[in-house]
Order: sequence, then structure tokens, then C-alpha cells
Amino acid sequence: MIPTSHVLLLALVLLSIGLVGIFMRRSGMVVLASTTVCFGGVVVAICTLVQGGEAEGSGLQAAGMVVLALAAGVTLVGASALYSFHRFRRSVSVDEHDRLRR
Amino acid sequence: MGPILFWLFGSISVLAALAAVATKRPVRSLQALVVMMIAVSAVLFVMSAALLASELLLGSLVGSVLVWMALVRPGKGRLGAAGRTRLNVSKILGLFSALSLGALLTWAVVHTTSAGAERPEHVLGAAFGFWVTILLLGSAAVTAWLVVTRRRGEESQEEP
Repeated sequence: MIPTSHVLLLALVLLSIGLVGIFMRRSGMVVLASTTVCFGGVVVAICTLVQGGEAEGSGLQAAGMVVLALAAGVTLVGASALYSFHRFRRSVSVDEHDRLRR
Repeated sequence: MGPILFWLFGSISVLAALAAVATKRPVRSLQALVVMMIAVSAVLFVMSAALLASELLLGSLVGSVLVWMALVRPGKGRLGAAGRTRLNVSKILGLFSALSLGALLTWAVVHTTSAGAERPEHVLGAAFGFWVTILLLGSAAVTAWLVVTRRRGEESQEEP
């Protein structure tokens, strides 16, 4: 049995690393990777509750599945948007995603 | 033993996450991300959430293999390979959607058919989740088929 505080600490560290990457980096692929790191932290945090009991754990693993599906969706949509942008501008830097402003 | 294994895999996942965020090369970032996902799934195994861990492991491995085969390998280590990349990207999107939603469907089928009086009743019921998953899988398959067909048409128009 892992102490809950340890699991929450690991989840917090992963979430913080991902958030730092999202706000600090300019490469679109690295920003997408940071988003996935954040989702990993969230899944670990959800698993804190799975340890409670088998009956409750089953439903909570379903919630974790939803988070994973959401992460896959976000990654797919982000990757396709980056790919489309790369076709027109030959760049994946998020600082250049300002075409809607003009 | 549990906490030691937990922190062993947890520290690997933290180091890999730092490497994924800190590197400037997209390929290195993706490689570190795959290592982080595998370490996180090991953490979930240690915490006895085997279902989530196997889903995470399967999804990250299949996704990384697909990206490597279609985007990285043809470009000799660089993302954005020349040639028929558009078709490859359409295949990646369709195949990954179908695989991830297929895993969800399998889980829903196993969960719905498992016997047990003490099974918890969810807010909307297991049957609702089952049909929603089938609907999602069907729409993903139709979307993938439409995208691939349309891309094939564009490719054949551009060739002459």
C-alpha cells in the first residue's frame, strides 16, 4: 500500500513539469509533449483513489480511462493542427500561430 | 517493497518528463515522453491499477511505433518527412483513434459482461457506456475512412 501523500506528491511534480513546459517552450511538439506529461500526472492522481477498495476502484479506473481518452484526443487534434500549420508556414513554433489576429 | 518500487519508477518518470520538456529537438522530446509513459504505467502497476496501466502502456507504445514508422524513420531522424506524408498522417490519426477506442470498447465489453452482485452501479449505467463506446468507435472508423479516401483522391489528382 503506497501512502497517499507520496502518490499526490509525484502527481504534483509531473503536473508542474508539464505546466512549465506548456508556458515556457515555443516548439509545438514540445508543448504537446508537456500536455501529455500533465495528463500523466492527472492519471496518477486519480489512482490515489483506486487504492481505496476493489468496488470503488473499478469505477475510478473508468474515470482514468476517460482521462486517457481525453489525452489521446487532445494529442491527436494538436498534432493535426501543428501538421496543418507546418504545411503553410514551414514552422511549428507556437509564437507564429497568430494568423487569426490579422 | 511497494514504496521503494513506486519511487524507483516515479523518479524515472520525473527525470524523463524533465528531459521531454527541456530538450530542443522534437524527436528527443517524443522519445523521452515514451519513456515517461512506460514509467508511469509501471507506477500504476505498482499501485494495482492494472487496467489503467495496460491501457497507458498499449496506447503509448502503439502511438510511438506509428509515429516512428510514418514520420521519423522516412526523414532519417527528423519530423516532417517529404513525400506522401499526408497519407501517412491520415493513416496515423485513423489507426490511433481506432486502436484507442477499440481498447475502450474491449474494456466496456469485459466490464459489462463480468458477473458479480457487488458490482457498483454507475451514474448512467454500464449499458449506456457500452453503447456510447460503440458509437464513438463507429464514428472514429467512419471519419478515418473518409479522411483516407479524400486524401487518396487528392493524391491521385496531384500525380498527373
